[in-house]
Amino acid sequence: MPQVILDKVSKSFAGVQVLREVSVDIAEGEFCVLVGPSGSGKSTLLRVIAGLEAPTAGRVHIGPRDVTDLPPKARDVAMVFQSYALYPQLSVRDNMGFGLRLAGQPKATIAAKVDAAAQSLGLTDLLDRFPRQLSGGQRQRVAMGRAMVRAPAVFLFDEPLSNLDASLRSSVRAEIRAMHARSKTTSVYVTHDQTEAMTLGDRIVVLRNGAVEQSGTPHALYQAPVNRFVASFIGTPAMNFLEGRMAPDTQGLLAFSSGSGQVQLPVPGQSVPAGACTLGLRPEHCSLVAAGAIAPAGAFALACQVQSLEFTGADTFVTVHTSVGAVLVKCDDRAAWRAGDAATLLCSMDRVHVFDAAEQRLALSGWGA
Amino acid sequence: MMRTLRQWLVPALFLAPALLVFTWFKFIPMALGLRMSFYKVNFGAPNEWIGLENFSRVLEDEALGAAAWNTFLYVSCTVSLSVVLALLLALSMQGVTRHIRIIRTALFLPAITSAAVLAEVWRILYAPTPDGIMNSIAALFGITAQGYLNDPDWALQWLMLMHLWKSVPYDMVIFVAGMATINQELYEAARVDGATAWQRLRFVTIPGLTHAITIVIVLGMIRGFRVFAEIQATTGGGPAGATEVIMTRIYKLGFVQFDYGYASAASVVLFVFTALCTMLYLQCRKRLEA
Amino acid sequence: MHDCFSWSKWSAAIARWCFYALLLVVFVGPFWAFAMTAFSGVTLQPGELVFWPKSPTLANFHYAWFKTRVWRFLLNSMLIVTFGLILQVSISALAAYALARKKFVGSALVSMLILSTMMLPEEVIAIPLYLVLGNIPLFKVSLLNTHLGMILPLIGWAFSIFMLTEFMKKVPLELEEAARMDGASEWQIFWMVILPLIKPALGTVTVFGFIMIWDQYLLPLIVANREDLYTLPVALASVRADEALPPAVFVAITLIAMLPSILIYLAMQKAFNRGLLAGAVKG
Repeated sequence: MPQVILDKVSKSFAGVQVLREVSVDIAEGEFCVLVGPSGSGKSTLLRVIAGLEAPTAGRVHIGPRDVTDLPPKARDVAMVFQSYALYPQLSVRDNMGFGLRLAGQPKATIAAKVDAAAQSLGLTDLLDRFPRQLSGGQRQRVAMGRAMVRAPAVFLFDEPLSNLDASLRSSVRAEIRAMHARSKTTSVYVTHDQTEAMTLGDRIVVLRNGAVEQSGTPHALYQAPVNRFVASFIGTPAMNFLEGRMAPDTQGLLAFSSGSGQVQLPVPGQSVPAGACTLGLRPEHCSLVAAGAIAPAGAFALACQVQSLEFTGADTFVTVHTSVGAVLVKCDDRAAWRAGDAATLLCSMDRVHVFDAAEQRLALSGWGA
Repeated sequence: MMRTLRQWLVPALFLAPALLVFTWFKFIPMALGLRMSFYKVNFGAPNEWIGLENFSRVLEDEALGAAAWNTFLYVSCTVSLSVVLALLLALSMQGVTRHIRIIRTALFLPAITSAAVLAEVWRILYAPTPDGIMNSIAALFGITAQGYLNDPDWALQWLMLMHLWKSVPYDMVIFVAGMATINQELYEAARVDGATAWQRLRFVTIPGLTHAITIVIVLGMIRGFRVFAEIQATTGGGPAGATEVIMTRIYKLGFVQFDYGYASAASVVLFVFTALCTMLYLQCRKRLEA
Repeated sequence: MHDCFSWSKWSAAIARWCFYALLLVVFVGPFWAFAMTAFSGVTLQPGELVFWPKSPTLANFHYAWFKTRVWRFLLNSMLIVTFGLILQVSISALAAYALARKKFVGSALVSMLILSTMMLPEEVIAIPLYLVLGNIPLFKVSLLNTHLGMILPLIGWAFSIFMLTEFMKKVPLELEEAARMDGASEWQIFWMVILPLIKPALGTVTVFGFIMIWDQYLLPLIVANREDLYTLPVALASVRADEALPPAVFVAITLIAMLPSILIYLAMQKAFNRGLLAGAVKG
């Protein structure tokens, strides 16, 4: 039975519609990530689940109960805030035990639960310190511990890693993953960072302007983004988009033309309805070979000229100029390209994405899904 | 609908005690006072409605007029002198060394004395006998013994001095705090531009203190017109009305002559006047911040 | 070889310190003289003060405590200040919580209403207040000649409400939300989250409230008809009128009357200075 159901939740603030009939089903034990650009409504949606905001329309169910009209404390949820929200006047121990203390649990029980949570988060030595004496990463773990001891039905995370240094983020991310693996509690996690979403989520919900663009596993979102927005949002660096037209060419194959350039794609000309569309190519799915090379079966070749390079150590990102637009290609560190070199861009057809004029993804009949 | 009503439940509970106290001891008396000012309040007989008669009497009342004049003198002299002296003191008290801070702390003592204590202290200082403190100091300058608070011609001025003793340290501390907020770089820029100490005072310090000076002046005025305790406790308005101010007169009208209706009318007039001053202050502040 | 010794600097320093000494004599001198006189054993004329203790003794205080009713006046003052202060800070904190942390229609109106009480000076409503205290509307009791009558009108003070409101506003919203998530009720958020975080402000309003209540003159004057209910500052005048009272004892009594404010001020310097700049001290 799904643990969290959002049923056509809408929310508006002072006339501005922030959430538009959002419906999401989150299964029990699932780690669900809400991701989207700022203003997409993801934090608002989280707060609606928490009970900190009341929806203008729609219902929220946690477990078998309809909690839409219940205050946060009646919902059995715990939240980890972006800025930790630790009580400055309480020690780490008291911070973590605060919720239990309010619930009137006996001191011995509280102590036992706090110690157990502190142990699994590596906080045992810090129990008697105060928040101001802790580093950012430590504070975030205390915030997680505070949520953990309450053993709620649902964990809510509101961009918990945004305030941490980049170096800390990966280790705390791993701890969150470990925490979820241990407790198997349903979790809803909000972030604007697609890397976090991809690495943490069992399921990802992409939001834009208060509506769900796509909901699915990281694989599904990566391989089959349902529209251009999702395709551009998921994957780093972002997908290359080439605007142009598709039409069958004289040889019965599909030709993509943009501006003055044209490239022949080795698929039947009727694979895609003729018309304006956008070609999507991920940098990591393209490769650069010597100029004049022939495309292997199932791939297309495009003559190009190297424009600029970015060497990051592990990769070299090469921007090439083709007749149909500029393309960013990810090459390995041994790539010996120089600006101005002529080259050939290769891409396999099962890695090509086509989006129609309405930005929806088109299936190339017979090719991928 | 219930949701909109629910938003008031918690605030109402938390605000209730304060609002109740204000209603019973501020708003109701105010309303009652306003109502009484239109009546002649009789004891044992019902009150007579006399409309605006009390107010016209206020305008023609000579004793009240004299008191108003005394009040005006009191306020204008004390406020202006206090600002000037406090400014001078603040300038001399610049610095964060420990010595200066201790001196500033000590200097502030008069500001926290109660009006009644102030009155007793200065009654003693103003002892008319030749070996009273003030007279001893006067003797050093070759001035003969004075009657001070018993002197109808000068009693008001001596009270002003007493007031200054308390208000100057208070205003000084406000100015010191105000000076601390002036950007030090302005002084450095002025020095580089070749400004003398006097010019720095005129072009950096005083403009930087405009806000503080305005507050001190206007609040001093508003409080000054309502002055009561320190006058009542020292001279009670005497000798022979020489130090009678508006509030001591109203006090006599109400609690000695029991002419409640008239006293209320006079209070209403005083209130309207101070309310206008307050609004003036708010306007000045708005204009300053623009 | 450098000449670090400059005559002009030296004479300027001397002038400076002479000036400071003069200031101290003017502003602190009377306190000093009162203290010295209070501890002196010589018989004085009324209005006479000494500047160093002549035959130091505690006899004046002894006399004041055992042979006058000063202890009674002091007790009245202490009662009124203690209960008045507790009530004042409590209801100010409660009101501030609503104004600072709660959004509700009309909160601006309520703020204005409370602000307006600062413009209703006690002097102006003294007479009707006397009548109201004589016959409280709805309850139909008289609070005249009672301690309660000298306490209740004081416990609503806009200054402390606004000061606490300002500080409560600064507590991050997330802490309140975290507490809500932890299951805290409204009262628990107020008591366990917000109040501990504004301790400095509570200290400030306590100091100012103490001085304001101790300072009260008009209110005790109109409430109390019987002398044994007078607070110490108000009773000073009638104590002075006692012909049989040795002047030195009177000085000692006045010293007692000024001591609490001074002690509170010295003890709570930080809190005091913080609050001074928040605008008007009283009304």
